[in-house]
Amino acid sequence: MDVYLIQQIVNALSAGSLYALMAVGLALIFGILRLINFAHGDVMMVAAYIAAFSLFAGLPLPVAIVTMIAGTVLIGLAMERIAYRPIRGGPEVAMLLTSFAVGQILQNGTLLVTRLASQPVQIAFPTPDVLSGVVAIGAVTIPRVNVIGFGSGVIILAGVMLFLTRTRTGLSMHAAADDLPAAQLVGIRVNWVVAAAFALSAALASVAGLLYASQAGQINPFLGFSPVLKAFIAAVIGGFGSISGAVVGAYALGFLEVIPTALGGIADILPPGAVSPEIHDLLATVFPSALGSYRDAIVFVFLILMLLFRPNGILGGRAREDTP
Amino acid sequence: MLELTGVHVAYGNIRALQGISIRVGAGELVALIGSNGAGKSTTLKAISGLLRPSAGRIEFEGRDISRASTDVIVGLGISHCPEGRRVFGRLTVRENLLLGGITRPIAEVRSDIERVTTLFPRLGERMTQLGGTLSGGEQQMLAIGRALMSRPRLLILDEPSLGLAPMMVERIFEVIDDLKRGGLTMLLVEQNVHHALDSADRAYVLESGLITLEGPADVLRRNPQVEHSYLGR
Repeated sequence: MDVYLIQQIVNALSAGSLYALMAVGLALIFGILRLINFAHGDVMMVAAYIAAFSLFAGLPLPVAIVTMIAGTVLIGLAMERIAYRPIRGGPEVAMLLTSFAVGQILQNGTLLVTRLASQPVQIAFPTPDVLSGVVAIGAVTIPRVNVIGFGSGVIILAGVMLFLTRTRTGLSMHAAADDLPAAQLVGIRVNWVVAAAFALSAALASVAGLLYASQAGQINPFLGFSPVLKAFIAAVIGGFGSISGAVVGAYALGFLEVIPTALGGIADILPPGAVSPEIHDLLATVFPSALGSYRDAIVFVFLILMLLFRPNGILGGRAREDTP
Repeated sequence: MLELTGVHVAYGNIRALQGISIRVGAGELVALIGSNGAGKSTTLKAISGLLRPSAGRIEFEGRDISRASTDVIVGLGISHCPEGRRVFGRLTVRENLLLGGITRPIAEVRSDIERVTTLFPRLGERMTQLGGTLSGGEQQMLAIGRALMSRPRLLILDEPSLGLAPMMVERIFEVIDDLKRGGLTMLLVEQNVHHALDSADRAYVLESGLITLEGPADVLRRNPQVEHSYLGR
């Protein structure tokens, strides 16, 4: 039971890190431009492909990672320059629709590349050794990718937080999110700040892409859909547009997701005789072993409840009413 | 120092400025007065590069800035303290000031923050407080202090006394007079025409996107039309 509990906690923390890496990118862009960048999941997907092809090409892991981050950042910058900058300041619906279009282009572009490389739609991800296998701590065995995912997520997010609060560029992002025209008036180069936000958000998504692909073991051009939705939910739970809120929301979502899996079939995991037969039957009825497969449904119900009762998120009261 | 010649600005089909010409000499405090919607803020936004003139020329120290971007204009020495203060509410007072100096070398920003807190001791006491938690008067001080952080040679003030308590209005005009004595050139838009004409050297009256009157402030103050329309006498 303890072993099981620890495993579930590590799973939650690892999923939380992955969602946080994604959600921070969404929150950064939304804060400044009021754009919900649904192409963000596809940016993450492209990162996984760049990593896969780099590793196929025999590049050593550090080089492959640098290639992946650099390539993804370039795509993020191109996306901003070509698709989003021309409609900046336009209606939010136009920006939202553009993000769907960008996502489609990235998916179909990737599909095209895999075809040209004579690869099937779904390919096995060449998970590097350091991200495969398990770590054993006493009786507990945990997939190594989860441990590294959690750890690297925490380190990277701490770095991002420092960058955002301690550097002039980071503070400029806050200022641009707070009041874009005022930021312009003090002499902040808004185009540069927006580009920097897209670059940072793409870099974070690329790390998430590597972790996701290593966990899943397989990649396809459509894998970004679920992570971007989860990151969106995490950002809503935390209070949309708030960076710290996105992090809090992401880890909360990580735990929320493992709860159905952890509780599902709990009656069968308990050591025999731990509870009376009546309670055993009750647990088996309330938490059937199939509960885990309702994970997403439970998460979305939670999202709806959040939107109904606490629309400003966990770190509530942070919603802004900016006048454009 | 600043010269606008035949400047037109349009919002879509609405012609907000219809060929205005304004001159601000070095060391002068020039007031721009007029009723709501006359085009005062539009004029200021055109100068600081937030709006592009559709025709006409804006020159600062002999250089055409009518197509320059706002960050370049700030770098050249024009600082625009906007209407409604627009401090960064979720950043601290110190961070607001720090960003005011974004166009300056970081090494000099620290001593400039000290300069501003000498001018506004109240800000010095509130350095770690969030901008949004300050009172209206304190926010106006922060907005002016933030605008001064870029070490402007021309300071543009848009309605600095709007919505402030009478005592705070006095305090803001004391600061404006201080800055003027220090030799700073200023362009002031102000609905408190009394105060504006007291402090200003010269003034322009803007009506429906056109300059209808201009002259020394004390002459305009005695102008019957100005008395009637803006001074309520």
